[in-house]
Amino acid sequence: MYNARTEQRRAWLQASPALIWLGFFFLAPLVLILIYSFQGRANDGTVLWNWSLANYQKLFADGAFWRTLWLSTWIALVVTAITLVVSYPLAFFMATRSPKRRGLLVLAVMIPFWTNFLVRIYAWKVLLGNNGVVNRFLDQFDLGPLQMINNPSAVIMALIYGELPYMILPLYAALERFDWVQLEAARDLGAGRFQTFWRVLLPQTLPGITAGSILVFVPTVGTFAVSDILGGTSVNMVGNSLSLQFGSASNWAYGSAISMIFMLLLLGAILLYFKATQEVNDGENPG
Amino acid sequence: MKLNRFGLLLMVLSLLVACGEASPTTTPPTTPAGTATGGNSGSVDRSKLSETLRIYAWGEYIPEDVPQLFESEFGVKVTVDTYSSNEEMAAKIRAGNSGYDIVQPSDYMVALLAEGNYLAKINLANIPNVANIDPANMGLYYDPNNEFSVPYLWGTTGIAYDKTAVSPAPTSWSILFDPAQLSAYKGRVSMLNDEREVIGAAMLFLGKDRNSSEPADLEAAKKVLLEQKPLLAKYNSDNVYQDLASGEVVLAQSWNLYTGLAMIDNENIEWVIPQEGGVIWQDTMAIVAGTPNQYTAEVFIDFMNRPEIAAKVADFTAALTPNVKAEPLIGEELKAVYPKIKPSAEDRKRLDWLRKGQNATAFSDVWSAVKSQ
Repeated sequence: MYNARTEQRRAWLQASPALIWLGFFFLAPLVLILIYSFQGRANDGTVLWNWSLANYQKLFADGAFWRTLWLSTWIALVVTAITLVVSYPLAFFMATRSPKRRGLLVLAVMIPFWTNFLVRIYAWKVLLGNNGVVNRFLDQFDLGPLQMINNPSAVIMALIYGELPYMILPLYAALERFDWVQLEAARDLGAGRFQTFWRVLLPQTLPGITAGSILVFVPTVGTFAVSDILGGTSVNMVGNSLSLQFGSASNWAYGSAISMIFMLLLLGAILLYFKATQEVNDGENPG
Repeated sequence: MKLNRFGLLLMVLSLLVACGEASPTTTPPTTPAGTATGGNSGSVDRSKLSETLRIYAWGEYIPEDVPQLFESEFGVKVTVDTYSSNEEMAAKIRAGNSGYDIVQPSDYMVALLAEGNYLAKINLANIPNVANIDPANMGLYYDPNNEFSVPYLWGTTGIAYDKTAVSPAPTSWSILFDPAQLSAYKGRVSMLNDEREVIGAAMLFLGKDRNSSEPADLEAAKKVLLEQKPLLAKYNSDNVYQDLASGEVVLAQSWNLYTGLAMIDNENIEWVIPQEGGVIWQDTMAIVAGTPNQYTAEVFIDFMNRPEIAAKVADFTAALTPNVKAEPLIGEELKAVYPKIKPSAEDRKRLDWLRKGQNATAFSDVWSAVKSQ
């Protein structure tokens, strides 16, 4: 017997390892965080079982949290925008090389991954520190020292550096699939350079842009290591607040409330973004 | 320039360690450590030893070769994970099932953890080397009978500075908390990343008790800390000594052990216990309640109290050792700076402990408000 039902059952069976994995290690902790977010904190820093909305009330009244959230979002948007602008021409360049070259270029983009991310971030500190390589070079000419770390720019710079491959690769994948004959067709039909890009190339690589933007935005908005190492006291991102609450401040309940709100806002923003890019796409390519 | 390059090297090396890149593979030492160290391993019942021992230690507190020495003598594999604040460690231990056998709480945290039944009662009969410890370091307020902890290192909290950059020599916490004085060093100053130390120092500056958890005092301390924050480079408890030695910061709230390490690398680093007072502390070794490896943990603590091992620890950390038999064995580098970082009788009068508050979370609340601002 070969019917739709057994086919479906087989599909579930095949998916079950992944589903069980996600259920245990993603869904269950998420439910736990949701439950924690309605509890309190005992005097010794453990979770006190006492259902209430207190954490959320405190959170909504907490001006520092909303500033933190705004700073995180702003940094993540800037990082996403700059990586997109920098990566698109590079991905274009890569996709238009000979297939053999392309492989080498993709490899070149991947190579930095082989070094631990934190080591690369510390390298920025060594470069830009008050007594770092750049400042000591400037010192030779009696310039500086410039204060280049412990501020938002240092964090943004290091994040752009770290996230670039996540933007380049999806863009490259989208551009590689693109049928270049369409560009010639557009030019033949009288479209200018800009119009060709805007109305032909861009819409068809939009899935790559969407994927790249989300791949960059999500880890960036939640980062805590980069802001911790390069941000000094001036950059507190949501990730830093979370690591504080779950770490030394030992207020898991409040930390859980922060993550719930953060997750909901992030989810909302991403859905909106998907919807918007979808509409652009549909508008450009009716049918 | 020489020392700057050294500072850079230190930074690069330490970040390799910090990122867990350092390979855990160990090369078996060729010398029979048991005889070389002249320990008392004869009295240890090896059949009761576990296969592994997991230690949760302060960062850069346990010299790299010590786990290997222990392993080659007793056949117990020792792994060390690190933390940089008492609260960070406590959060993990309180969450349960941490898997750690030994932790290194400071004085007040011993009291807090013992109160919550998170620490096992230690059988001192298994730790004969405890006799090497200065009686002055035993039986302190946080653990009057040393039921839960054995001293590891002790020291003080004060101000470290680079005398070529900071003048006149600071004598008061006001250099760190008075914006008018602090702004001269904007961006080149760090405070410890430690809620009790930072709030305690602000209290001292304000003329309050370093342990005060009165709401009005906490509010005043918070205000001072918020004014200070924009002028700081960072809150840092991890590698203050590198920052000081390399000139990354020129003024820092610091522990004397970090200051000692910085002094060894950079002769311009000076140390002061401010006139308003400083903090005296003692870090310990304690056993996590419920561990199946209690006996092995006690054997390890005894091992750490052998004079030559304790001296190795002192050399590695540049902290003050409570081990009187170890003190004559410390290396030349540390010996040279020891008089500077060991509190004088005069300093002692201005030192006091951080004590566990009735409301420990009050400090956390102020701290998270300051940090997330």
